[in-house]
Amino acid sequence: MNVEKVTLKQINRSDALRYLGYGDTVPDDTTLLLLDKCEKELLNHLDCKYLYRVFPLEGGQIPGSAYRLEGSSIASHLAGCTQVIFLCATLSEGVDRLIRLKQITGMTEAMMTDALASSAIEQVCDTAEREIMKSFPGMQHTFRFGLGYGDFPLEGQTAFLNILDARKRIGVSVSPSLMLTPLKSVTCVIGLGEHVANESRKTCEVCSLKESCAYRRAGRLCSQ
Amino acid sequence: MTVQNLLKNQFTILDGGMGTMLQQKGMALGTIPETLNITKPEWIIDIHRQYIEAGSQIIYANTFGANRFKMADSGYTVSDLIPAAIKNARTAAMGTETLVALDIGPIGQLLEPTGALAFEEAYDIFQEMVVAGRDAGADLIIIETMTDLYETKAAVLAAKENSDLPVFVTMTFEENKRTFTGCSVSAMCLTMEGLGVDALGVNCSLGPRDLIPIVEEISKWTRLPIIVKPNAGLPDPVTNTYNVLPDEFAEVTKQMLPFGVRVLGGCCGTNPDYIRKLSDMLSEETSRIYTTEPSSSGENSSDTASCGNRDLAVCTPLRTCVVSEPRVIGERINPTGKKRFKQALAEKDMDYILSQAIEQVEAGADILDVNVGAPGIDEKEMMVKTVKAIQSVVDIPLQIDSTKPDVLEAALRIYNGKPIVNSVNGEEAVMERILPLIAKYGAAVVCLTLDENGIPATADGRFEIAKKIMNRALSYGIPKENILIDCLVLTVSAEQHAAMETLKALHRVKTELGLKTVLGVSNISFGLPNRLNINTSFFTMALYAGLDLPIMNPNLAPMMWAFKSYKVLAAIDENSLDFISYSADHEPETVQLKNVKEALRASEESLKTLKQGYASIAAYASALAGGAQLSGPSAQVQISKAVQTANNPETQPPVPALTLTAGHPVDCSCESCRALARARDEFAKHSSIIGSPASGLADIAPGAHAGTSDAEASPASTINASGGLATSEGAGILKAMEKGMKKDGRELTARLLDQADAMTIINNILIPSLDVIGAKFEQGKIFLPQLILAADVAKECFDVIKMKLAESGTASESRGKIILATVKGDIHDIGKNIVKVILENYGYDVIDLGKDVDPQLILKTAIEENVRLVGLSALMTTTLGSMEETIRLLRENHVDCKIMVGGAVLTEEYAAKIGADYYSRDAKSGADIARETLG
Repeated sequence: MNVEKVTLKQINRSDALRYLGYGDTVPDDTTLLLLDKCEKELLNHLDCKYLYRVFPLEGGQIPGSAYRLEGSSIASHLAGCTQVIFLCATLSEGVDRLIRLKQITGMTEAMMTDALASSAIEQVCDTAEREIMKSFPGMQHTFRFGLGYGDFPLEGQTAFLNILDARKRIGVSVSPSLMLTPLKSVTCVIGLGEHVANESRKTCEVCSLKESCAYRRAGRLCSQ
Repeated sequence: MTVQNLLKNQFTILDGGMGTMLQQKGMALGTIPETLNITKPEWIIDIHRQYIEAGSQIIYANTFGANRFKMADSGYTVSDLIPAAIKNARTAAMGTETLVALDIGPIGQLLEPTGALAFEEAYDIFQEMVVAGRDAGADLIIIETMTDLYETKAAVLAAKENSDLPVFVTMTFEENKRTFTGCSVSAMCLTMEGLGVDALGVNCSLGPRDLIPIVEEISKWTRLPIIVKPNAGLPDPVTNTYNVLPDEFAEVTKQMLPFGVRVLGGCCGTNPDYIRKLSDMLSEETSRIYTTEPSSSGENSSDTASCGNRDLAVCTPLRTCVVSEPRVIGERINPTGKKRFKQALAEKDMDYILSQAIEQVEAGADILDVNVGAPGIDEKEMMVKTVKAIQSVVDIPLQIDSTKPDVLEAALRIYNGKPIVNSVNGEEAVMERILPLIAKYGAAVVCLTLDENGIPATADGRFEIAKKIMNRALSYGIPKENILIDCLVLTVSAEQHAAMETLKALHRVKTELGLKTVLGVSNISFGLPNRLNINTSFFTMALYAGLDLPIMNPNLAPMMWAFKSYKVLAAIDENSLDFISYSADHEPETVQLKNVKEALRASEESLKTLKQGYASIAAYASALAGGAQLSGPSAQVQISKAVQTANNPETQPPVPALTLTAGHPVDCSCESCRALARARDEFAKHSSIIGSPASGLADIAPGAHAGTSDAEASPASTINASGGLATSEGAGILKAMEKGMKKDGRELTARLLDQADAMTIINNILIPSLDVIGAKFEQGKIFLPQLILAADVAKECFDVIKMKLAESGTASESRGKIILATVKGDIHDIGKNIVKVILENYGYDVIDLGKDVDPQLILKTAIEENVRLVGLSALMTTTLGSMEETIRLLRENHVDCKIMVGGAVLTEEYAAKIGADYYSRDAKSGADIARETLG
C-alpha cells in the first residue's frame, strides 16, 4: 500500500490540445504563449501521488473480500489475469484551487489549465503503471480500467477507496454523487497475468461516453 | 481519574491501531469496522483489553468512522453504533483507571470549496456523534487523522458546543509538514489553540522518524501538550505489513520528547507490543527532566496570555501571517464610497468582489479587510458568502469588518483559520457583546480607542481607553498578542493637531502596553488635494511611531513604495532583499510622472504610439503655457490632466521632468532610462507640433486621450450607425479580442464611452465583434480557447462600461435573465462558468446559482425572478438524474421557461429524452439559444 510521488517536468501538450478541441491543427502563437504560461504555473501547483495494492484473483474475484468486482465488463477485462492491482492517483487539491482562481482572473487560462491537468493525471497514471510493473518482471498487464467504465459500477467507488485507504493516504475521497475529489483524481483496476487478454484498448463498446465522444465522431480512438 | 488529572502526569499513554488488530482477528476486506461493535463486540473488547494491559491510559472507542455519511449503507445508525462502541470500551476498562475517548475521524467526503459538503452540514454530522458519545458516557473526545482544517474546526465546534468534555485534536501531516489539503502545522496550532482544545498534535501518515521534524514544528507554535501517534513505518503493497518494529518505534519516539510531546500512542500498523515498549521507554524517561514547562491547560486560560511574548499570528490553512514586522491590510473590499462595489453587492456579483481580492493580493497585501455592509444588503448572509468565496481563491488571512455582533459571529464560525475582527471599542455594551466572541473563536481583535464619550482629543485619553479595552479583553481570556489597538486617524484638514496626537497615542500603546497597532491610514487626507502625498508621508511617520498593521489600498504604488522603503530604512528588510526583488518586478513611480510614464511604456511597443504620446504632451505643455485656444469641457479635462502630469507648469516645464528615472544616474542605461532618453529626443524632434495643439490632440495615445470635443468627434472615431465595425476603436476592439489584449480592450472602451452611450457600444461594437469571432469558431477557423479569450477581453470591456454606469447611477439594460446552474451532486462547474462569461458578454443577466444546486432552489429562483431561460450543466452520468429531476420539477410547476442543457456525457437525443428544449453543445451555441429564446 505504498504512496509514491511523481514529479512531472512537462505536460503532454498534444493531449491537452485535443481536450481543447484542436485536432491536428497547430494553435496560433497567442494560444501557445498562454498555454506555456499555464503549463508552467500548473507544474508549480502539482503534488502528484499514487497509491496501489495488489491482490490475488480467483475466479475473477479477490478471495476473502467483501468487495466484489461486479459486471461483465470487468470480468472480460480481467480474463487471463491471476492478480489485480487497485490504483488511485491524484494531482492533489492545489490544482483545484488554481483552476478556481483562474476562473476569476481569466476563463481562457482556467480552461487551458483544466485541460493540461487532465493530461497530467493521465501522465501520472502512465508513470505509476510503469513503476508498478517493475515489481512484476515477465508479467503481462491489462490497460487501466476505470470504475464506471462499461458496467463496472461507479457505486463501488466508496468501497474501492476504503480498501486503498485513499482518503487517509493520498487525500482522495468521493462525494455522495460518486465524484472523486480532488478534481483531477483517478481510480482504476489493472489485471496481471502470464497471458492477459486485454493489453490495450481496442474498441469503444464499453465506454459510457461513446455517444458524445468527439474522437469517435472523427473516427478515432482516444487511446491512439 | 479525569483527563485534567491525567495531563498533570509527565506522560500519558494512548492506544495503538484498531484496524491492524481487526485484520489480525480475521476481518474481511471491505468490512465496515464500526459495525463490529455490534456484530463482534468480543473482538473489540479483547483488543481494548490488550491495549490496557500494555499500558494505555486512554483508549479510543471504535467510533472513528461512525458518522451518518459513512454508515449510510452499513445497516446501522450512529445512535446504534456509538453507544455500543463506548460500552465495549467501558467493559474492557472496567476495574482500571483507563479513560474512554469518543474517537472522531474525518467524515469521508471533502468539504467545500473543493468538495460538495457544506461546513454547516459537517458540523451537523459531528454534532450527532458528539451527542451520542456524550450520552453514552465518553470521558473525552479525540478528533484525529484530520487533513482539512475546516473539517477539524467543524468537529471541534461541535464537540465544545455540545459537551463539556476535554477535546484532543491530531491531524495528519506529510513530510512537507502540510496535510493533503495543504494545511500547515502553524495553521493547525493557531486555529485549534484559539478554539480552546486541550491538547493537539499529529497522528498517522508517517513512521516515528519522519514525524520528528513535524513535532519540532508543532512545538514552535503551541503551548499545549503535544500528542504523537505515529504509524509503524510504511506498509507493503502486497502483504500490507509495516516496516518499523516495536523496539525501534519506542526508541525513535523517545527522540521527540524534548519537543514537549506528552501524550503518546501508535497508529496504523501498531499493536499492543508497540504500546508496551512505548510504556517501558516512558517510565524510564519520566525520571528525566525536560525543558518544556508543564501546560497551563485546565487552569485559568488568562494565564497563557501573560506567559511569554508571542507575536500576533493570523492564518488560513495555507498561509500564516506573523506580525513580527509591519504587514499591509488591504482595504478595498468595502462598499463605502464605491458605487460599483455597492452595485456588485446588490447584484451578488461575487466575481467582481473576488477580482478585488485577487488584485490586492497581487499588489502585496498580507491580510484583507472584508466589509460588506450596505443599505438593503442582508449583511450576515453576504458576509458568510463573501468570506467563503474569498477563501476559496485567496490564501491570505482575512479581517472581518462589521459593527454587528451577529455578522461577526456568523463569519467567525465559517472562517477557515484564525482571522482578525474589526472591531470592538471602549463602550461597555460593545465590549460585552464582542469580546466573548473573540475569546470563543480565538480571533485577534482591533480595538478602537473611543467609548461612550466619543474619541478623546488627546493621546493620553486614547491611551487610557486602549488600556481599558486591553484589561477587559485579558479578563475574557483573550491572549495579549491577539489584542490590536487602533488609535484612530482624524482628517488633518479638519483638525490639524490630531495627526500627531494619534501618533503619540500609537507610540505609547506600542511601547508601554506592548500591543500591536492598527491604523486606517488614508483617512488622514480627506478634503485635501494631492491626497496621496499626504497619505504616504503620514504612513511613513506612523510606521516610525510603531504602526504594525496599516489598513490601506495596496494597489496604490506610492503607498507600497513607502512601505518597502520604510522596511529598508528601519532595518527590517535585511540587506534590502525584499526591496530589490520588489524593484525588479515594479517600476518605481512618482505621482506626478504616472501619466507620462504610462505613455512611455506604450512607446516601447510602438514608435507610432510614442510619437503620438509626445505630440500630446507637447500639446499639453503648449496649452498650459497659454498658447492654445481650447474651449469646452474636454479642454478642461485636458488641462486638469496636464496639471496632474506636469509638476508645476509655471516654474517647471514638463521636459526636464522626463530626463531621468528618479534615483538613477544621469548616464544610466537601464530600460526605463533609455526609454526616457529616447522619449526626450523624440520630444525635441516633434517640438514643432507645439504650435498646433489640435493636430496633436486628434489621436492621442491610449491613456491620455480625452477626445477633441463631444460635439465634433473626429471621423476616425465616429460610431458607424449601421452597426458595423468601421470605426478605429471598433476594429481595435475586435483585434484586442482576437489577440487577448485585455488592457487595450479596456482603454478602447473607455475612449468609446466618451463618444457614445453604453448600449450603442454594446450593440454596435462589442456584440458584433463577438459575432465575428463566434462565426470564425463555427467555421473551424479558430478554436475554443480563442473564443474564450475573446470573451475574457469582452468581459474587461463590460467592466469598464459597468463602472461608468455605476458612477453615473444608470442601470444597465438587460437583454433578459438566464439562470445557470450545475445540477445537484455535480461539483465540476468550469463548463457552466465558461457559458456564463459568454452569455454575460451578450448582455444577458446571468443568475449563477453555482454548483451542486438543489432543484428546489432552481425552481424558486425561476419563479421569483420570472426567468425565461434556464441552463443546466452536468458532467457525469451519475448526476444526469438530478438534471432530469430539475427539468421535471420546472415542468410540473408550469414554469414558463425554456431549458437548455449541456455537459460532457450529454447527447442531443438524451437532452430531448429528459425533456430539455435545447441541447447546448458548446459555449457558443448557448449564446445562440439565448438569442433565439430571449432575443
